[in-house]
Amino acid sequence: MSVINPSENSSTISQLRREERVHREEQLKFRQLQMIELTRTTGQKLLFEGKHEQAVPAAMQSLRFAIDVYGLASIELVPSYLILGEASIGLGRLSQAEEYLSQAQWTVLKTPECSNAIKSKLYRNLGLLYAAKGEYNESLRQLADDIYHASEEFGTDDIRTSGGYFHMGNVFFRQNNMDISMSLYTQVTEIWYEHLSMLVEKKMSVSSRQESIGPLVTEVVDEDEGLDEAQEAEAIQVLNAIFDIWEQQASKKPELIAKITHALAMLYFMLQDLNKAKEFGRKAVVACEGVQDEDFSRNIVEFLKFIRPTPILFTNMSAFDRKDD
Amino acid sequence: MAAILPAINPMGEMNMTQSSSIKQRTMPSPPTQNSSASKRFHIIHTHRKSQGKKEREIEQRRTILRARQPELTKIQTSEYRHSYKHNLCLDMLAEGYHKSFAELFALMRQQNEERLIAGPESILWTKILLEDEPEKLDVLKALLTQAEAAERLENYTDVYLCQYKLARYFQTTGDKWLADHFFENCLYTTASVKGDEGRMAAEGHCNVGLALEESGQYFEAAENFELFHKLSQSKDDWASDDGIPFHFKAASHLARIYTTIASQFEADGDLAAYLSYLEKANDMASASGDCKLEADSCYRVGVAYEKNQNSATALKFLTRYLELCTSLDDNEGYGKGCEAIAKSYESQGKIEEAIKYLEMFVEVAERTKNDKATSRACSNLGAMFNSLGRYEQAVDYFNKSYNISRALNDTETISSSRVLFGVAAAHKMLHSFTKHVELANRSAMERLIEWKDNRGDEFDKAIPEEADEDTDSKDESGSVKEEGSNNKED
Repeated sequence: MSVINPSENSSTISQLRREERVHREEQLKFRQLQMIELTRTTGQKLLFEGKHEQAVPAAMQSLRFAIDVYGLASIELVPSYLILGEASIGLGRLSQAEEYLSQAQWTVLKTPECSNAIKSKLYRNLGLLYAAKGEYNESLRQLADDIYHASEEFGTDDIRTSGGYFHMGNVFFRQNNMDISMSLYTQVTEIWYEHLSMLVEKKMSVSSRQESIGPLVTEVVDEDEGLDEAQEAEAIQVLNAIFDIWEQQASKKPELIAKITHALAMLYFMLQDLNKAKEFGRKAVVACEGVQDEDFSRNIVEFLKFIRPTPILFTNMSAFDRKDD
Repeated sequence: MAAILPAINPMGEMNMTQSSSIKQRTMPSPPTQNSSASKRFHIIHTHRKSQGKKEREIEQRRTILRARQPELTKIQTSEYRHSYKHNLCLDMLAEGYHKSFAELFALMRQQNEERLIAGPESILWTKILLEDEPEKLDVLKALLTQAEAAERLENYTDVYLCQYKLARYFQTTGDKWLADHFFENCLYTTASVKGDEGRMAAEGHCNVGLALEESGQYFEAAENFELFHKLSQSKDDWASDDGIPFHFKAASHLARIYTTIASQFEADGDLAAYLSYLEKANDMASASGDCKLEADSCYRVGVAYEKNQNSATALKFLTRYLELCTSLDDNEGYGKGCEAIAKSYESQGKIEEAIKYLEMFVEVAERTKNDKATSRACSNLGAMFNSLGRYEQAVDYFNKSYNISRALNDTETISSSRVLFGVAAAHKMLHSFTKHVELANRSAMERLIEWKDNRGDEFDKAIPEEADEDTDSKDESGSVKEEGSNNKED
């Protein structure tokens, strides 16, 4: 802090301050974006878990952050509005939901370069709204739009498109159109089954390479290929729902039950819930006895063998500890 | 969201105030049209009254017109807003035909990707995209949805029929890639059709084989035809619409495809493969019950073996060919066969047999008044006699051949037969000519000069007994002539 040459020092100090300021601003913006993402994902996850009351504050927070960053009429606000809308439907406040969703729809209409992903989410929620109101035909049309845009963006066999199929299946189920809803649910099962198989295979190939005996099988799968929290919650909700429906309608097609139970087993394995994974695995083996396809049953048996070793390791170690006493 | 949709509660508006206050804080209401218009209205009203009246009239007219416009339903607005393909997809999905949607979507995507891969210069860019052709999209929608409905009821025969109709339709519009795609789908569906002992599978294989053949993938086509053949082997009652039983059809397809593959091998120079495929083709042809096909293949095999210097086997096939030709009353074929057999005998050195067959050829050709063939036959025979030294007959035949080509005015054969004729005549004359030259007496020389002058042929006349001294010069000219005719002979 020398006073001898004030002009020189002040310029460098102001330069430093400017750089600091810029850096701080960037950091702030980055953190804000992270917050938006976090609150949105949490909100979505809570929705899938059925906790609509709790989802509202999360969604509101994400909306506030988004307005701070993007302004009032931006397209980036739409996902938050959609979560609010869905929560309102879940709580039974349909006219409120309709207002939120209209706002979202208006924003989407005004933004011609809006991405197909956002459009797909919007139409999905609109479909849910109309279904809740009982206007099934309109709901089907909205869900059709959802599937169309999701297919354009992600492809017809992606897990993000499968949500559309699932809700459409629900609507047809309510209309008592069993064939169509079965066909749709089968499609959903297939999509999730493929995706989960891929994830599990990756995990199996990774851990077979692991030589050391660690206390836990750590999450080694890459972040972008695994499931994020919201997707996990969605998978749990969707697959369990389909399983419940099929268990009641049951025995006509054992291969379908086998597939859904296997998918559930894989899902719980990915979520580290090994008890449930084993439970569903056992159900899958039972269902497999009705299926002629050899490969199918072999896959399940291999998968179960893969799950089993880790708990046994634990029991051995605890026995070892007890001996030392 | 719970699995079961929440209870429908149209009146449920609890906590409206709380949420509305939040809403007011965060959600801006979209600007309403009326407020801005009325603002404008008020502003103008305060400034100029006359203008205000005009504005009012315009507004009134506008509202009347708007009221007159029909109410658009949501579907109509979406038809206006979205592309045709979008609307079509929405229709399919809204009725629950998601598999049809998936298939159509995949096809359109495939077309786009092929375009991109082929690069900006390819002709694919000039072709209209599937998504821009409404009629094709409509046909696709109608038949695909029908197929899906049938599939849900597990009525796989109907599924097959729909896919078959689609394939046929695209054959007529010239979209080969779509036709092929649907033929393959047909084949795939036949795997699920139970209880007809594979008849549909056989049909499927046949169609796919034909499609592959057109695309030029001969080996895959052959595989499919073989499967078709195997499936229809013992089933005599399976027949197509024109009454020909399946296994005959299979055999004829196989014969044809094997011949094509064989010619590919021939072009590559792989003679062993060429022969083996030709033989396979022949086996199939004989199984097909189609005599003409069998005859052709016998001929081809025979000629191939001949080229390969395997005359014995060649003869076997060629004799069979002759038999078939007689049964078919195919005289031209018969002639061709005779010619080939004669060539084979010639290469074996059995000239007499060769001559016999060539004479048969001439006879047949004359019988059918096939002048070109006759001319060719006569030339061949003449050449044969020429090589044997039977110049008289050679000359006769060449004469005939030459006259016919002149009558036909066929320039190439005219020149060749003329030359050959000349050669044979020279050879015929050679003996007496050389005798005259050797004699070298006055009458001989006179005759020689006569011949040189105006081609007066007096060499056959009896030679008077006279001696001549000027033999040397004549010898030279005679030897020149001899060389000339020898050259011609070569």
